[in-house]
Amino acid sequence: MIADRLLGLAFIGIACAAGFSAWNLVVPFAADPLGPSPFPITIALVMGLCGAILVVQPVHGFERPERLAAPPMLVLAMVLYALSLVPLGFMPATALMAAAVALLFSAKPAQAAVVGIATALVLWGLFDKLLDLPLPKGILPF
Amino acid sequence: MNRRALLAAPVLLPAIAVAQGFTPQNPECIAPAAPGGGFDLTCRLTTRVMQEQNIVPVPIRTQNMPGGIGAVAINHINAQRPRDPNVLVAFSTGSWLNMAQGRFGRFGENDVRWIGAIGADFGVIAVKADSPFRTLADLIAAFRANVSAVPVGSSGAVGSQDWTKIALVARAAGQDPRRMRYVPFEGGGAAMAALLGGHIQVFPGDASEVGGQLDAGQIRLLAVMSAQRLPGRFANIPTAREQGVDVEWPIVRGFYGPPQMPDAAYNYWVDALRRLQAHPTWPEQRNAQGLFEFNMVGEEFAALARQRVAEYRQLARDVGMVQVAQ
Amino acid sequence: METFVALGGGFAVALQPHNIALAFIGCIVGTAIGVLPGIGPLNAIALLLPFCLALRLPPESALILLAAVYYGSGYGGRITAILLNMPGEPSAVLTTLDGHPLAKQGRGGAALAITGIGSFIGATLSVIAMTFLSVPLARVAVAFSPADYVALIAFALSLLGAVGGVSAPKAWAAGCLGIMLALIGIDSGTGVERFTMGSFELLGGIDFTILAIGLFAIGEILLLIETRLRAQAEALHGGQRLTFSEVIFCIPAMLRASSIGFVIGVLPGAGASVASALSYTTEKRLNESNGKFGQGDLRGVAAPETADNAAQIGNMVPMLSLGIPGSGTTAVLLGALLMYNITPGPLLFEQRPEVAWGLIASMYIGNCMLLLLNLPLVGIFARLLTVPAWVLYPGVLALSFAGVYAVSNSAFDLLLAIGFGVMGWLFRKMDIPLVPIILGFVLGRMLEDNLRRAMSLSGGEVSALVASPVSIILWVMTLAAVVWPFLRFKRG
Repeated sequence: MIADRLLGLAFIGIACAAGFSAWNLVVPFAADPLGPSPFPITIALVMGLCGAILVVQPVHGFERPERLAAPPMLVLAMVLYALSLVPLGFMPATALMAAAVALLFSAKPAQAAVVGIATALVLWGLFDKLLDLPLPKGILPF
Repeated sequence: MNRRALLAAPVLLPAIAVAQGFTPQNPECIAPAAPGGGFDLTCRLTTRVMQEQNIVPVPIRTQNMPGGIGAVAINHINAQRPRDPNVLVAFSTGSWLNMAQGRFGRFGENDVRWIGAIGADFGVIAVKADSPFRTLADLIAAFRANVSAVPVGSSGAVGSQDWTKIALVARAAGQDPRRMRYVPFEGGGAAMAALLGGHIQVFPGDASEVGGQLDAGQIRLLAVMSAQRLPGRFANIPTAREQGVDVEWPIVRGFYGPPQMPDAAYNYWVDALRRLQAHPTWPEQRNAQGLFEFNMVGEEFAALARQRVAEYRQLARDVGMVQVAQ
Repeated sequence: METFVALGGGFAVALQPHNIALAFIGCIVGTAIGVLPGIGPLNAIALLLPFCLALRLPPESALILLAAVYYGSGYGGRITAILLNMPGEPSAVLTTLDGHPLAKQGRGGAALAITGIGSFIGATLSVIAMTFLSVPLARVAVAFSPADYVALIAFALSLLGAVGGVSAPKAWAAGCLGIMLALIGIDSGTGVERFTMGSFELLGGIDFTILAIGLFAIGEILLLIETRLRAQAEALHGGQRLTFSEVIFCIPAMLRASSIGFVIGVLPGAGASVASALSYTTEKRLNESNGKFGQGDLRGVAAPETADNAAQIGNMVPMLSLGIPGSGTTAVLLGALLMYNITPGPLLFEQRPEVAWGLIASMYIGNCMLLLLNLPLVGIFARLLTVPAWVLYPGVLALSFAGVYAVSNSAFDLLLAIGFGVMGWLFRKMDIPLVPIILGFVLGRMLEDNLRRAMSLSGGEVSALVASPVSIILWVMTLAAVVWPFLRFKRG
C-alpha cells in the first residue's frame, strides 16, 4: 500500500515539474494558435489526477525483491559498461560485461569467461565487420 | 577491408604523401545522423567515390552520431579530438542555422574548420497544379494582402531550413515572418501529401524531392531559390531573383574538420574535395545524391560559411529565436 | 485486365533467377534485422544501399532486395517479443501482451506459427489491394487532413483502456508518462526546447529504440535476475502445437487486422505501430466475452502481427503511386530510386514499369518465401528458450547495447536505456503496465502535432475538428468506445 502511495506522489511530482516547465516556456512568437504549452499541461493534469487517485486508493504493495543484491549489481555492471566502452574498447568492455552478467545468472567462472569472450567476438564481427558500423577500438589494436 | 588497404598503401602512398605532407590514417567521417539520414548518405557515398577513384588511398569509415540534431557531433570533436587530422564531419545548411540559433550550445561557426562543399540542393516554392498562384509575384501579392491567410507547410520546425526559406520570401514581401501561417509536418513526404490534398497552399521544399510530382504535372514550381536556373526538368522554372525577389536558398552539403586540425591535414582534405569535384565521374555520383553542382572549398568556403551564419543569426535575432547570446 | 498484363510483366522481372535470389537474401536479412533490437529496417537499408551501388545491381533488383529487407523485418520482430518478452521492433510491442503468456504456457511455437501465418495473410492481402487499388487509395490518403488524423488518434487512444491491465489510474499515468517522454526535444510548432533540462543530447528527442530496449529488454532481465528466472518462459515442451482449427479460429481476426493495417499503412504519417495497436485493441474489445486477452489468446498475437505486415505494405502505396514517402524507411527506399536516376513519382508505373511492377510481383514471391522460411524455423526459434540463461541473457543484453551504440556512438544513449530499464523493472514490480507508455510515446506526439496543425490551418476554429465525414465517423466510434464499457457494465 505504501508503495502505491509513494508512486502516486512520484507521478504528482513529475506532473508538477512537467506542468511547471511547460507553463514557463518562453515562445519567441506565437506561430500556431495553441502553442507548445497547453498540450503538455493537460497531460500533466491527467497524470497528476491519476497520481492523486493512487495516493487515496492504493491498490497494490511493492513485492519485496527476492534477491536484493542482484539487480543493483546488474545495473552497476551496465553503467560501468557504458562508461568504459570508449576508453577500454568494445571487445574488452563487452567481454567483461557479458561475463559479469553470466555470473549473476549463476554461471561458473569458466563458463562466464567463455560467454564473455564469445559474445564480444560475435557482436564485433556482426557490427564492425558485417554491417560496417565502427565500434570503439580502445586498448586493442583493432 | 583493412588488410587490402594495408597492402595497397605502400604502393600508393608515397606520391601523395610527398605532395601533401600528410597521410590520412584510419580516417573517419562522422555523420551526425543515424544510418539512412541525409548526413549518413553524404558520408557513405562521398567517401566511397573518394576511395574508388583513388583520391584518398585508404578507406574512410563512416561513424554515425545522431544525438541532439548534430550537437553531439560538434561537442565530440571539440571536446575529444580538437586536433585530430583524420576526422571529417558532414554538415548542411541546417547546421548553419543551428549554429546561428545557438542550438549547439557554445559552439558556433568559428569552432570548426570549414573544409568545403560537395554540392547543393536548392529550395523551391511549390504549389498545387490548380493553385491560383501562377508566379512568385502572385504569392508575394497574396502575402502583402494578408500573410496569415496563406497556409504554408513543410517539414521541420519553426526556425528550421524550410521555415527560413519561406520566411525570407515573406520578408521580401515586406511582411513579418512571424505572422505567417506555417504548419510543420513530419518530413517532406507528409508535407507534399498535404499540398496535394489541398490542406496547405504552399510547400517550400527542396528541388530533389519534388521531381516526380513536377514531371506528372501535379504541382507547379513558382521559383527555384538558386543563383542561376537549375538544369534538366527545372530549366523552365525561373529563379526567385529573376522575378525580382532577392532570395536564395542553397542547401549546401559538405564537410568540416575539428577546430585545430593541422594545416597540412586541412590542405590535404581541401585538395581531396577539389580533386573530387574535378573528377569526371563525380557529376553522376553527385546527382545520385540529389545534389547539384556547388563547388567551393577552403578559405573561400569558410568565408561563405561565416557570412551565412551571420545572416541567419541576424534573422533569428529579428524574429526572437536566438537561444544563447553568442 | 491491363493490371493483370502489367503484373505479368512484373512477374517476368521478379522471377528472373537473380531477382529471386536477391528477394530471398533480403527476406533473411530482413528477418534478422527484425530480431536485432537496436537496428531497424531503415538503418539496414541505408547500410545495404552502397553495396547495391558497388555491385552495380540494376534498379529493379536493388529495390527488390531492399524492399524484402523492409517487409521481412515485419516477420522478425515477433520472435523475441513472444519468446523473451522483448520486442525486436516497435510494432511488436503489442505482441508481447499475449505472446509471452503463450510462451510461458509452453505454446511459444504455436504463437510463432500463428503470427507467421498472420504476417503472410496481412502482407499478401495488402499486396493484392495494392495491385488493384493503389491509385485511388493514394488519392484518399492524401485527402486525409490533420483534423482527420486527430480523430483517428483519439479513436486509438480511446481503445487504450483495453491494454490497461489491473488498475486504470496506473495505466493512464503510464500513458501520460509516455506522452511526456515523446515531447522532449525541440517543439516543431515554435522551435522552443521542451523538457530537455538543458541537455544538448536531448535536443533531438528520445529515440523510440532506446525507450523500448530499456523498458522491455533491460527491465525484463533485471526482473529475471531478481526473481531467479521464475518469470522465464518454459521451454517448448508440454505445449500443444498449433492446430488447424485454431488457425481457422483466428482467421476473422486476421482479416480485420489486414484491413486495419493496410488502411493505416496507406496514410502517410500513421504507421505500423499505430496499426498493430489499433488491431489488438479492436480484437480485444470485440471479443471481451469469449477471449482471454492478456493471458495468452492466439488472436492477441495474430492481430497485431498481421496488421504490422499489412501496414508495412500499405506504406508503399503512396511511395509507389505518388512518390511520397509515408515513413522514414520508405523515404530511404525512394532515395535509392533517386540514386539510380529514377524519379519516384506518379509516372513511375508508366515510365519504369519493370521497376514498379517488378517490385510488386516480388512482394508476392517474397512473402511466400517468408512463410516457407518461417514455419519450419518455428521449432528452431522456440529452441531459443532451451539455451541456458547464463548464455542467453548476457548475449541479449550485449546485443541490445551494441545495436544502440553502433548507430548512435553515444554512451549517453546507453545510460538512458539503462535508466529506462530500471524504470521498467520497478514498474513491473508495481503492476504498472508498460504498453501504455509505448503507445503514449507513439500516439501522444502525433496527437499534439496534428491537433496543432489542424488548429493552425483553421485559424484556431475548433469546429474544424469535425468538418469532414471521416472525422465525424471516427469521433462517433471514439465516443462509442468510451461509453460502451459503462453500458455493458450496467446491463451485466
